Amino acid sequence: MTHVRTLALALAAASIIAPAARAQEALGDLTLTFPDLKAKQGQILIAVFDSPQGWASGKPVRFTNASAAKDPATAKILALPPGSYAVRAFQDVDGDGKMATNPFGIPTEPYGFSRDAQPNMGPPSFAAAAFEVKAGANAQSLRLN
Amino acid sequence: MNRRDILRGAALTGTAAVLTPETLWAAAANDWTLGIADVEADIAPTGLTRIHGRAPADLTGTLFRNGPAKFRRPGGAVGHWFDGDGMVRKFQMADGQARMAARFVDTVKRRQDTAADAVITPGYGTASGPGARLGSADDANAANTSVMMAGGELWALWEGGSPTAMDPVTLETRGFKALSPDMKGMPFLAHPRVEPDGTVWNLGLAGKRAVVWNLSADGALRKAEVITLPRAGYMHDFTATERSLVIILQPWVQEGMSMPIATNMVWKPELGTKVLVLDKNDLSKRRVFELPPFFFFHLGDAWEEADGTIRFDACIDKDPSGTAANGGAIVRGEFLKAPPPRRAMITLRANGQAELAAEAVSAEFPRSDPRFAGFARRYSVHLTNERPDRPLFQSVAVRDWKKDRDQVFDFGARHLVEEMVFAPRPGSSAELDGWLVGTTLNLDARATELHVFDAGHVERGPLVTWRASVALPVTFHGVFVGA
Repeated sequence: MTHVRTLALALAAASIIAPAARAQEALGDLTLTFPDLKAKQGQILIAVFDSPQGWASGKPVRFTNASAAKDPATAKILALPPGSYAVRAFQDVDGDGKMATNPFGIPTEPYGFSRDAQPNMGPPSFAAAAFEVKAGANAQSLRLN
Repeated sequence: MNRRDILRGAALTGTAAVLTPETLWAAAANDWTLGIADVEADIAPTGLTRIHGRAPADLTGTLFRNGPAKFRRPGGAVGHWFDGDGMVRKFQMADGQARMAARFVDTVKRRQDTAADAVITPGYGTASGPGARLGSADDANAANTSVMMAGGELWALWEGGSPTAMDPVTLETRGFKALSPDMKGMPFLAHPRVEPDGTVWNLGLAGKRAVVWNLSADGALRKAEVITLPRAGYMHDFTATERSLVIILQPWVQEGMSMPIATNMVWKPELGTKVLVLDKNDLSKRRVFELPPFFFFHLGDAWEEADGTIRFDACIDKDPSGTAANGGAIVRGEFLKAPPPRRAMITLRANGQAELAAEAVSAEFPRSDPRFAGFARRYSVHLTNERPDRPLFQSVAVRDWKKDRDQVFDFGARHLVEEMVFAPRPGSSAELDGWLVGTTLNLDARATELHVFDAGHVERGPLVTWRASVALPVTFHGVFVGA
């Protein structure tokens, strides 16, 4: 009985303390810029991943876009739990919402990966594109080719 | 040489710095390797020195040629001749004088390899190095195989990617040519077939799929259609008649998608060689012919006779162990002893039968009078006399198919002879009435030379020879553009 009561108290205490602890664990805001776009048209479609599994299966944790008309094109992704992330993006120049490819499957719209990770007969690995998001302001620049 | 070899060498000698591919190359070189030496910088426009004969008064025009000219960097070299950086050469002839200039094509590959101080870009026979970008084939585009004129632009061609547009006056690179926005990055072989009116037909390949390009004389896209081929055979060249595209599917078959490209190719002679003939006006109308297995890089222009018989010449090897493999060996200063490619005539009959008549004459870089492309013709021009002790050819030949006769001029063992192209005599329309224009690399003078022959009397030797002040590595293909 005493044990049960102690446990209950402990849980109650934990439930009171936990939100305070989480509030202290500050989130990160990520600003992405896309310099030197060749065409200032359409939206840049941006996917943010937090794991190699998500990267490989194409399941982003965040998805956003940025106007390519602005110079430089910029997107802000707010309130990310600190950790390791990777970004892939393409410029939807023709506005159809899809990354256009030629008949042999090669992208015909500009695309790129965080940390300027380079494709080599396929996208780069999560590790090659990954960067740390820390509490507070974070910035990454992506070159779309 | 791989990294481990370099490290082992360094451990033994303690002098890693001297064991770069460049220094090993210099130490090992036979003198024919001048033909595959590195060029470090563009060649500014300069006059050539006439060393023999006199230029025809009415010969005015420009010979553009393309070929790889940078193979080795401190951090690593190409694995194959086909992977060197393209350098476009320009030889202008007018008023009895000749001038030249040469510039590297400013490709993504060249920039990437220059920045890495190593050949990291993968290719035909070169593996990918650390940090290489290969988002599309154009990232590996060496723009090093041929050239063509299109709408006032000079295009440097490479078979796996887009044409690269250049300024024909300054040889400045303008960038990859997207023939339409949705066809950006599609491959365009370095051997377009050009009809006498300038209409361009070409292929681009991805395994068993091919895009068939049809361009007007100014380089504008008329049509691009994707077709499926009976097999994923390696193809450097195809041919065409007035009405048909003739596509040879040799039994060197692509069985993977990795780099370098050549490592995916498997020789399967049991498959034989298939010839696909497509109607230019309706690509769904196709005929397939069967021939014995052979390997080839180059074909002559084809023609169709009144009874439907299609004929064309070809330069064929027994298999890829000769010409194709030697392209990897020669960049290392080695030469694999193998029979040279030989001349052959291929006949496709209206009843579906096909015949291959192989000859003993060694032959490569076949050309003909471009005003007869797709039509019955009498002559072929090609190189001949590959030497048994070194790569490349020392003679040029004109084949008269009607008289069954060859005229040959032998430059001798001290020249590496490059493809010769036909330049028509102004005002004349007779086949091969004009000149052959081409370059050789003179190993004694250590200089590139430009020669002009009377195309009807090749055996008499050059009418005029000019010598450059530089030795440039041998080229693959070129075009003559009359003034």
